[in-house]
Amino acid sequence: MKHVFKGFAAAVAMTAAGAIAASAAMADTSWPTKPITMLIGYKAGGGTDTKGRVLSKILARELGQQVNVINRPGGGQAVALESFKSSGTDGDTFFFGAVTGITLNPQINSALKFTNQDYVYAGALTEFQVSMVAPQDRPYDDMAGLVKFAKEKGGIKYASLSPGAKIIMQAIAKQEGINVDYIPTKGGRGMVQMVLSNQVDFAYSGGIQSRYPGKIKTLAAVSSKRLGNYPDTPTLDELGYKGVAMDAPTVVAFPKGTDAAIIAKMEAALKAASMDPAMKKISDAIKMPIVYLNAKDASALVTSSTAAIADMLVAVDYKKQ
Amino acid sequence: MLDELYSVAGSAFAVGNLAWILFGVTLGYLVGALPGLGKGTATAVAIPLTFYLEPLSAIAFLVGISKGSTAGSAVSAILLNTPGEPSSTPTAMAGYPLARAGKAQKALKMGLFASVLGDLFSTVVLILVAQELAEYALGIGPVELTAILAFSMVFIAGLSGRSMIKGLIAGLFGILISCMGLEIETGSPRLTFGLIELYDGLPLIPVAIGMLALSEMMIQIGQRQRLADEADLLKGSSKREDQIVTLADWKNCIRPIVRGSLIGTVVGILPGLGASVGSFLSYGAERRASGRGADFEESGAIEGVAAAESADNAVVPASLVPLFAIGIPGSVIAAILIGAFTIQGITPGPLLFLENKDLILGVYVSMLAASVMLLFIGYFGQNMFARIVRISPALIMPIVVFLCCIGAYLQGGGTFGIGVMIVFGIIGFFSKKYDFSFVTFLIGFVIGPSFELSLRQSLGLVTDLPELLDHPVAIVFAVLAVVGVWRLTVLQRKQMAEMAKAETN
Repeated sequence: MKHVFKGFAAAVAMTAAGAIAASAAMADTSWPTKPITMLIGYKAGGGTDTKGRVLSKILARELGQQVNVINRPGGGQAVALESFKSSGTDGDTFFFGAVTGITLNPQINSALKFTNQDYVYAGALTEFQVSMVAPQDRPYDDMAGLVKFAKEKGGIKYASLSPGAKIIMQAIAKQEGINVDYIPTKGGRGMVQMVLSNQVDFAYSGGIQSRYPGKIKTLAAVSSKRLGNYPDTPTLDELGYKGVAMDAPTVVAFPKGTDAAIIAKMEAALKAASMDPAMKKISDAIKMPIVYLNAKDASALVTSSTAAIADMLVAVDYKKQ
Repeated sequence: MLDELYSVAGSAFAVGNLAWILFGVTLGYLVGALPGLGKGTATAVAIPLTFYLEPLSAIAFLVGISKGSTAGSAVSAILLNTPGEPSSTPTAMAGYPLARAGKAQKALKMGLFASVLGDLFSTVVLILVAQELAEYALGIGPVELTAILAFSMVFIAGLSGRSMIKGLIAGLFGILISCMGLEIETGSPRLTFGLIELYDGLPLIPVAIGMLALSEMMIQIGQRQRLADEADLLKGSSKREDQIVTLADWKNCIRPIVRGSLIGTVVGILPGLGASVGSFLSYGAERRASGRGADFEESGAIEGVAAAESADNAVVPASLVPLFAIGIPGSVIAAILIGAFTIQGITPGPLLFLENKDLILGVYVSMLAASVMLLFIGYFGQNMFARIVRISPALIMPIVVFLCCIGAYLQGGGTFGIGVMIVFGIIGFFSKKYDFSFVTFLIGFVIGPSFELSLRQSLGLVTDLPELLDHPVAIVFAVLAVVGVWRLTVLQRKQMAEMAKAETN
């Protein structure tokens, strides 16, 4: 009788221990256990928002929990990023958006209180086709031609749709010794209007020229590696403009301190999303190719991009606003 | 054009869309009939709630409110001698005596018919003209745009109040407030007081709700209007001909309706004038043409009602022409509608016809449908509206204020939006008290960013003074703007002098 009792007690103890061990292991990968939130720093209806919503549905399928999209526009994603910085490390909320909001903006705007170190990165999914463009019928087809044109004419007019666009051109202009008139535009559409109506010689674009084939030509890629849409177009770096590259993938980020297991799970889900037909459909529609980066590569990109931008700002004597 | 409209008829006539148009027109008619609430208030409050709608339904709904409200304001004007909106003041002047003579139903019906006819005419003009104008407007570059915007501001400032100087102050103040936010070239914060919420500038919807709706509520509460406690004027005369619109009435009214529709449409297209200018001009013209003069107000005149109502309704669709074609709001409603478009991710302007052609065509068809619905709602709902007109403002105002808060919260980024709304409610209250045209302020606020951007672009594009001669259109408008300031100031001084002389006589 005593044996049976001992056996029974042992069995109970082992089951209990087994259960506790199992639940401890489950705590690592059980996220998410309730609906999570995707934070987007732009208004609803924009390019990033559209992609984000498609992605949220795929992630919901992969992670097994609903993914709610919340738009918190303002200040070029600054409002979203600042509010999200301290929102908790349990994986409830993650950020999806253009990485330049994290790598570039805090370095040009002293009012922003966050830096790239405040977040951990689960991966990157697509890439803005950041490039230098010109009206189709201009007599130059590459940067060398443009510089020659600028020197002959005494200066060129350049449409700059963001502070980053202006800074890059300032660096190039300084290196080549050419005069540039900077025409500010309101976003990509404003830039397109300027280019299509032939009022500027040159412009920075986030990739929107793909919607106007035959009207706008791409002279150079601003990213550090050649662009998916323009594999034959050299990068600024290749052309000898060192230190002006700016990469603009869209990343998924969590606040610093979020559990590594959560990051890993999101990374896997993003990988699946990058191969999902729905994702391909939307990226073909807005002509932004899928460029998947895993967590490690995404983090490396953020760090190197931030450093490169810091160097560029020093090179143009940028005064932080 | 007809086959284009036909192709979008499918989506425009979808049950859901029609339901929203119906709801908008009915709501607008109701709001118009209630004294103290106007289409500006209703539209500003309704916009945040359209966020979840399809773009077509959202725009159609909001425009439906404007149409319904301008027509419904005749109800309280005729029955209670209290215009539901300022533009129905002539209707009250000529219609209330008719009601006292037992001819209320006749007056209400003619008012409705005139409203619908004026509205239909103007909608057709909008459909025909806007796209033509937009194609021309595509050739407008920053230099021309700067000049046109400056001219619009001057025009609006001069005609929105009794004082050109005050109007310009209000407009420039609006432009100043619109500068708040991150500067476009370098991203440096301007007037943001360290608040991240202001990085994109003050949100339009809470500002509009505050200035239009909240301030109006504050004024109403202060005035505590007493509605005329007349006996049930609807059951006036027992004579049938006093209850319907006879052939003789139509004969008398066809001329004022045609004239009113034309006047209203032109007034609508020109930026800054507004429905009241349209209705007064038309009323005055009819008064003079009939030769009866002051008798219009003594014994009432159905022709006066027809003239006023057709004109003020014709202003509404026509005021969308500059908005759709160029992206410049010429009226308060147009300025607020920009907010509605923005929520849906659409920018009004010449590109609208290239990028969102189907949407605009759908809006056109919906507007035509709204005109027809207006007729039915006004006709069959007359008894009901006559009764509703008497609801105590004490019941309505708290509901409106509550809706204001919801809208400001949704579109202003939470409680920050409510704060903005309150601040601008107070500013709106004082500007109404001291006759600083809040219309000009709001329009200045809305076009401020465009004005600044196009001015800076012009400075970059036109590097030498002789280059300016390449832009003749811009020079013309710039000259017109300067001349406008001078002429309108002189005109106003003359008017003030005449008024002073009349008072001393």
